[in-house]
Amino acid sequence: MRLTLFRHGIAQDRADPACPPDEDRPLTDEGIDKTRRAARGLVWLWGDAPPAKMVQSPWLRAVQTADLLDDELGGRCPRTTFVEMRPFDPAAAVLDHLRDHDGDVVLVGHAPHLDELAAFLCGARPRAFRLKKAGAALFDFVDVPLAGQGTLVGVYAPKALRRLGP
Amino acid sequence: MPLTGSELFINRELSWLAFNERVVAQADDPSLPLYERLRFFGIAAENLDEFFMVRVAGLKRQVRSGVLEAPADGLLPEEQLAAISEKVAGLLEEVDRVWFEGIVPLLASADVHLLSPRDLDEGQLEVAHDRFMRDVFPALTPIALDPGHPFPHLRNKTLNVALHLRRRGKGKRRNLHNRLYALVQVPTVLTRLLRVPHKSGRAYVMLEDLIARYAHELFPGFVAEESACFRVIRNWDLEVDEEEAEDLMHAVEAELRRRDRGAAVRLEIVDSASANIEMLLRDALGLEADDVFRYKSPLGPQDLSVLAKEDLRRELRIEPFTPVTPTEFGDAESTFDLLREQDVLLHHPYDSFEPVVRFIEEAAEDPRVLAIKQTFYRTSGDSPFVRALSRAAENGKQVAALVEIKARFDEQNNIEWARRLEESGVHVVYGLVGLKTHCKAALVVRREDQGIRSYVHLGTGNYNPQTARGYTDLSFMTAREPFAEDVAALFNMLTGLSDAPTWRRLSVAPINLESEVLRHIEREIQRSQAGEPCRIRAKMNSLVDPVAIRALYRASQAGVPVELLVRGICCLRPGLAGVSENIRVVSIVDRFLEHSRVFAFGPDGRETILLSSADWMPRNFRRRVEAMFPIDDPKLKTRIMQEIFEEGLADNESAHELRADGTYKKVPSDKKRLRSQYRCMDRAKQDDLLAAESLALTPVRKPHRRNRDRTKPKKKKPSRK
Repeated sequence: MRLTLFRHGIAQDRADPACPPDEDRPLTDEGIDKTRRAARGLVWLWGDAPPAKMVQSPWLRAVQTADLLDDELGGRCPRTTFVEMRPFDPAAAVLDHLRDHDGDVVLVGHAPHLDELAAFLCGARPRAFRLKKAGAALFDFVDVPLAGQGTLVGVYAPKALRRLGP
Repeated sequence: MPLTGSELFINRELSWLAFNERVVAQADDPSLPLYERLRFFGIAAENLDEFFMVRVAGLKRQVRSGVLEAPADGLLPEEQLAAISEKVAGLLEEVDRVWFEGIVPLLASADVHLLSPRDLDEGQLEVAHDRFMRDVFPALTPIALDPGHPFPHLRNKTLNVALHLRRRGKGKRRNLHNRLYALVQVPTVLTRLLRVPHKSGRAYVMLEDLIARYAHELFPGFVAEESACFRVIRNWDLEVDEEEAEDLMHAVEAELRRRDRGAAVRLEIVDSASANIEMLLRDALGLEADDVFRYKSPLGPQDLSVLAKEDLRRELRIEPFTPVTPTEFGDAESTFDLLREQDVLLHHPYDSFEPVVRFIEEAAEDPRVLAIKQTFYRTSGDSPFVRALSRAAENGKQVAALVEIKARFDEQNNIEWARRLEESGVHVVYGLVGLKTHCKAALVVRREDQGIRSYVHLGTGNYNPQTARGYTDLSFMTAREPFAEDVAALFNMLTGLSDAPTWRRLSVAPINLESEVLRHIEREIQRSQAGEPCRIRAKMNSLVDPVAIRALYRASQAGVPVELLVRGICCLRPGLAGVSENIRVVSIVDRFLEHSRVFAFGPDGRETILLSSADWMPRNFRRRVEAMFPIDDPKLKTRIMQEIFEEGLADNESAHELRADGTYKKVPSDKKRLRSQYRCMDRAKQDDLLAAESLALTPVRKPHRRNRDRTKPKKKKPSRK
């Protein structure tokens, strides 16, 4: 199976006095625009084998990022929310969640959770990855995703993804 | 037939309510996506709030003061209030139906859930409780009601929870209240909806429900036996004695502070509220049974717009439309060059408002510009016009801003930026005593090689880039002298209190605008009587003025075909035998708020076309400074006739036709379907596409120079010669 990790786009600045609590910080207009274009690139990367399922963090900026990705996929991708995908959650929990699942999956979440998960999947040191906002990493697995069993297909900066998209 | 009977007129308040019914109908339109329907649902609620804050409050004041004077339709204030109450009750039934049958199922199918705390599972409840305690609880103020804690002042439009509390534990304690009523205001600074986790979609709980659920946290030792969410709507109209006020701005500010304490005019309460709670609130607010409106759907649904803001799924939103900048603006080196060559007409929001902003921005930076004068009725909080005028003043130009601080609901906003303008050296004037300045005019005076030349913008809509994206309006820009002279005289009249001149192109209210409208109607009557072709077409937001209405009746009696596009209130009754059978009234309510005022008098191909800031209402004719101006250029005239009247009157998708009984009927779409606003959008997109294609075939030209960095010293523009 192929597992894609997609980090949310640029969200409202925490220093902004009008900023809501962290879990409700929305994407900014610039974030929406850049994320949409990055999502387009990601869809192009997947080609005719888009993921069969999208799993999103419950926090707003990730849900909105998943909205945009889903739009680019034509609204066809089944979505679920997995609570333990917040920035501070342990990386392994989401793997347990995916264990019974067939088919390719895209996870839409936050740093450092996705960074740690990426390192965990390919057996790298914990701080090996730094996904940028609206950036992605793709891993292939022979079977279900397990720690250290992933083959890194690529890490894509948002700028690269935006260029890939039509 | 005499035209004096009250049966010839529709009551304006009831006509307004009929308009709001058409807005509610948009929320029920299955062809629209979820969030567009939700937007209309919120607009209808907001409209109704304003209606009570101003119109109902005004009628109540009339009743209190014993007014016995009835409007043209003959209904006395008390009778109007009774009729309003009955009609609003029907409207609310429809609102509830649209919510439960239209919007809730759509939300569910989009996997968006508005849950009550009862519906939450254990995990969701835990999250809700944590977030409530962390983010909401600290902002709440529990207020117990007893003789020591009298009923507090509840601010206009705020949402509150009334609670009936019982002391926990067995037996009564002496000297302590064992039962009490209490209030908690839902803080306006917090988002109304609190998100809770959901397995696949989005789930929200309303703050008021959580406040009721966790009342024991706010009132330790008590449990809530019952709770009811409610809203209070207050009289919001300003009463400023302008003649006596030394400084109008201070007078308005003082009045604004007082206004929030205006008398309550309406209580909205959830349908499940007990009679006890309703009585308690009614007594405290001094309201009658007729002033209480019970809702099954959420109170204040305008707050639910946050759902759309958070949900970026494209299929749930209306397809975005980007206003198009007409090619001539891209081609011209500067707006002034363009206007020296031709007049420009912009139809917003299909045409971008950007050229109007650019006109003033360019003027602010252009070293040849000597003076800028502009009126402001409503503008956006962070207005580029306000910034440009400040810069122009700092650049040493003569800048005058005519600010109408009494623009309803925007008073506080207007005071704030009027101060900012004053600080940067702009002459800020607050208009003529007793008259609101509603005309939309801007004048730029420039020193050129041939001498002084003036440039003019006149519009039907406000200088507000935000509303210009959502309202349909027309902008007219010209460098022709008669217009410039008139607009200069208008500003002198407004800022210098000079006498009105003899107008060359403009008609100005309260001086001659009404008489000009009547003269044009009269001329069509004479044409008809002489057996010549004649016709009247007019588009406006509201038609209320009885004098103008009678003139239109006379035109109809004389056989003049009269077609009216009136979006909102229309007191004219069409289709009355012997009175108005030649009059047709159509209302378009669609994606954009119809806002342009355009009048065409005369037969096809020979029309006199006039644009205006004024509706045909007594207040516009007599209590406001308004402008009306003709369009002479045949190309622009053809465009207006096609886009405004031919397509507007042929619309059979978003149009309703007024019937003699005051009700509206959707125009049947048996013919070829035509939705006028979408036709205009398509045309704008098409023009943009054609322009892009033609651009690809022409050599690349330097884009229009815009001085982005305003801090840099300006270089003199090289001469084009």
